[in-house]
Amino acid sequence: MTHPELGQQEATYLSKKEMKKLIILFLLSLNTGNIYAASCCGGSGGGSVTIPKFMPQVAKVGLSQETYDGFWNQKGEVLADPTGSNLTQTRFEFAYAKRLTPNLQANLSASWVKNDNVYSGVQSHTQGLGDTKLGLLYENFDNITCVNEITRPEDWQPANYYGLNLTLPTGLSPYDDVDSSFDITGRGFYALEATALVEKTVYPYTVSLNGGYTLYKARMINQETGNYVTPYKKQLGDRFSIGLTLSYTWFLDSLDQATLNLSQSKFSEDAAKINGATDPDTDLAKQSQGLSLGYATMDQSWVVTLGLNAALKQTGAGKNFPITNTTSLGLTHVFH
Amino acid sequence: MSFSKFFLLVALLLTFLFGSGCKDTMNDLVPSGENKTASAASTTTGTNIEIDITVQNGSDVDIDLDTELTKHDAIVLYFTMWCPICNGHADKMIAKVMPSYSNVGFYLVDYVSGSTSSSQISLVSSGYQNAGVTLLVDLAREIELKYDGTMGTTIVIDADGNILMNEDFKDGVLLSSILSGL
Repeated sequence: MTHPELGQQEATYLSKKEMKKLIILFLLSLNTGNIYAASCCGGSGGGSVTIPKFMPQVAKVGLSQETYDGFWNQKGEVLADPTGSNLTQTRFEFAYAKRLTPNLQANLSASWVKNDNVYSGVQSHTQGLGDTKLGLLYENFDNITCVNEITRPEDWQPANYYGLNLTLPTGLSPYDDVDSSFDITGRGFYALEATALVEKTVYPYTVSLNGGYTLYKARMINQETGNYVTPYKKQLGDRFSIGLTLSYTWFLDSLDQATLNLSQSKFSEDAAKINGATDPDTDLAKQSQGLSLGYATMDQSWVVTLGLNAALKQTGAGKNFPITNTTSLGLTHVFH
Repeated sequence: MSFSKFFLLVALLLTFLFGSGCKDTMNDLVPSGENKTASAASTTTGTNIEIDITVQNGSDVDIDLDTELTKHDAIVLYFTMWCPICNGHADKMIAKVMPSYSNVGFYLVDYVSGSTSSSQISLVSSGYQNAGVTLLVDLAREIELKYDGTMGTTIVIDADGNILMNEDFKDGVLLSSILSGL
């Protein structure tokens, strides 16, 4: 099921709206998540569009498929989709990042979303552009912080990133002229997200912790799934996300690298407001786990990633949100 | 790729978004608060809908919505696909709206389940089997097509056949307001 409020499926932060939305969604944009295994050093984390330190630019194409397997209700209980349901969202994703200054990157991500849904008696097959994201990422470090061993206090210095992302509602949302909630590819709201990430690599291990806080811009709505409605103002609740990733890197005889990433992520979103009044049953939450494998060439020009992100079907692991599993394949090129 | 080419790429993308087949997304990029519902309000001579109904003991019976209208001051049709938001809406409607309007008939319209049996299962698993709301299994999509309904659509029809509301449930405030004015 394409989550009607989230559109393109949501970002489960370490593995990405999505999405949601969604995203949910968008579902939630290139919501493939960021697994920053040694990102400052050109490692093979999946989904990231972070430019390795000193490199000028990076581009990525990816394909991900998200399948739906029930949902959490407002009490956090797991409920199954109706018998015969088969809900899938496939996303072709593109991301590009360009270094603006030695410590500042700009990035762009977009996606093409294809919905294939059979929900009991209803079938829907639609596709369209997803939400688009523009971002800035500041590197609060001047040199590569990855080390092979700790021999002095400075070796403990981590790589710190601070980001600001703007989501443009370029996808089809429930507030566009769509036939049904199955047809949407985006969430329909502008969003501004502040992110922070701290990462440390002592080869072969990498640990990273990231967090994000998202504010949605309130908007007027006069149409829902193709029907005009009495205009009202809606604002989605603030979203908080956090994730932890542990990685292990193998250096092969060819000097190529293989990296295994394990991640745990969580997000929660406050209830939405309608005409200024809180809609108390619209808050969301989800936890998920990710596993990805990356392979990088010796000069780290090319990185291939294969990822799986799954949510546990257990009470309390989510709230008011679909349970989904996402597989992804990505190809990243770092320009030298 | 040079810096200028990067922004050329962005420009091309934006051109694609604004200038090509994505015009539908303009409602999101530039939201409008213009009220265009005037033409949507309508009066009918009745619903002219007969539909299978799954009653709470699991047996199927036919129901004529026009007959239902004669029994109430109004009827409320809520379109559900048994999703989290649907159940959130239904919970609120059942717990906070229904008790105040005993003269109104409340119906859950299941437009997604392919059979009355699977619809009944969803009703039970959602906890509504004894909630006092009536389940309409829209197998032939009669109600869905007639009212252009989808997930969350809430329709209020008064005894004279006037459609007083046909939009998303949202927080239920509009529904309560309309029912209060009956």
